[in-house]
Amino acid sequence: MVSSNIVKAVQNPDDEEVRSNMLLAATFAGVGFGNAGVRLPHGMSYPVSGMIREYVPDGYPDDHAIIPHGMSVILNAPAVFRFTAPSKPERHLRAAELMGANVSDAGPEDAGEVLAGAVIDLPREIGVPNGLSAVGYGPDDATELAAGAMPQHRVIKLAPRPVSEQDLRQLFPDSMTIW
Amino acid sequence: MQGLQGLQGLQGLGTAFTMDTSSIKFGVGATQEIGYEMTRLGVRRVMVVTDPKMAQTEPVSVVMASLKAAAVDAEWFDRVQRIRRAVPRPRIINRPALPPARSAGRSRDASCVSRLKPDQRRLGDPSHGYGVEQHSQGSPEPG
Repeated sequence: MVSSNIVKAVQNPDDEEVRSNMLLAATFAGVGFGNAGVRLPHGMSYPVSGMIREYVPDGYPDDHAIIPHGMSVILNAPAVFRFTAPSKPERHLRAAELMGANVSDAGPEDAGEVLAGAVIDLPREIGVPNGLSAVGYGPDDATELAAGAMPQHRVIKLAPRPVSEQDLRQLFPDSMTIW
Repeated sequence: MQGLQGLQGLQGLGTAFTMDTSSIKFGVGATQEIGYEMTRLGVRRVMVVTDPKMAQTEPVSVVMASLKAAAVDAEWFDRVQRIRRAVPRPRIINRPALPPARSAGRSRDASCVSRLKPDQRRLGDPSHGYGVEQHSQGSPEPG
């Protein structure tokens, strides 16, 4: 529902039908993760938002830097899906299929790339910054970002495979530029 | 007992799950019914919490009007603001500042006070939320 409406909603803010669909999709999402919880991209988003320096998105008051939550989560998601796909390739492919990706020729080894690609298409089309480098981070920050994410047990430990601080030190650099 | 037969297929899973959802009301005009919903729950006094920007939006005025029409006593706090040092405690890193990622002609009528430099901001001016900005430099926020 999001993948078929979000781009239209941004391009045509007056289209009440797609905006209504986005509201309903957001409500479904809240019911879903209110029960199932959230995982790695969210855990990684906390230091991304917390260590903010200068970034101010368009349309926000410019008296303080901020990376909105949805933005700080989605910038990490493609790298995370490539990382977690080997734990359950078929579930990752199913998610990509639900987002409209063609998965008929995809094998288990493609699952991470296929889902990452499906996810990347949406922020790219609606003006989200291209990765952590576009909101003020560089590869030198990976160690500190990883250290900031590790205490977020509530979300880090819900990942479908174990995550070490060393893994996070690689996931952050992999999120610097996402397309 | 069709349902129980169906459940037998789940026996190998070895786990039960619970699902707890808040009551959600969704639909066109649903916000106008918030006064009725409060009354239905037996609530007589409520606190509405927004930030200064959100305070100027239509949904908030609809909420306040609905509460008033239902004779619910509503207190409105409109100064939610960012507090530096959230969890995890961010550390200041010496790096060259990026050029500001802002568009030049953006409308800022809702936050004109914020264009003042920090030392020019008036503290405690009740007409806007930014004036009470006093960032905690000490311990991290609880929670």
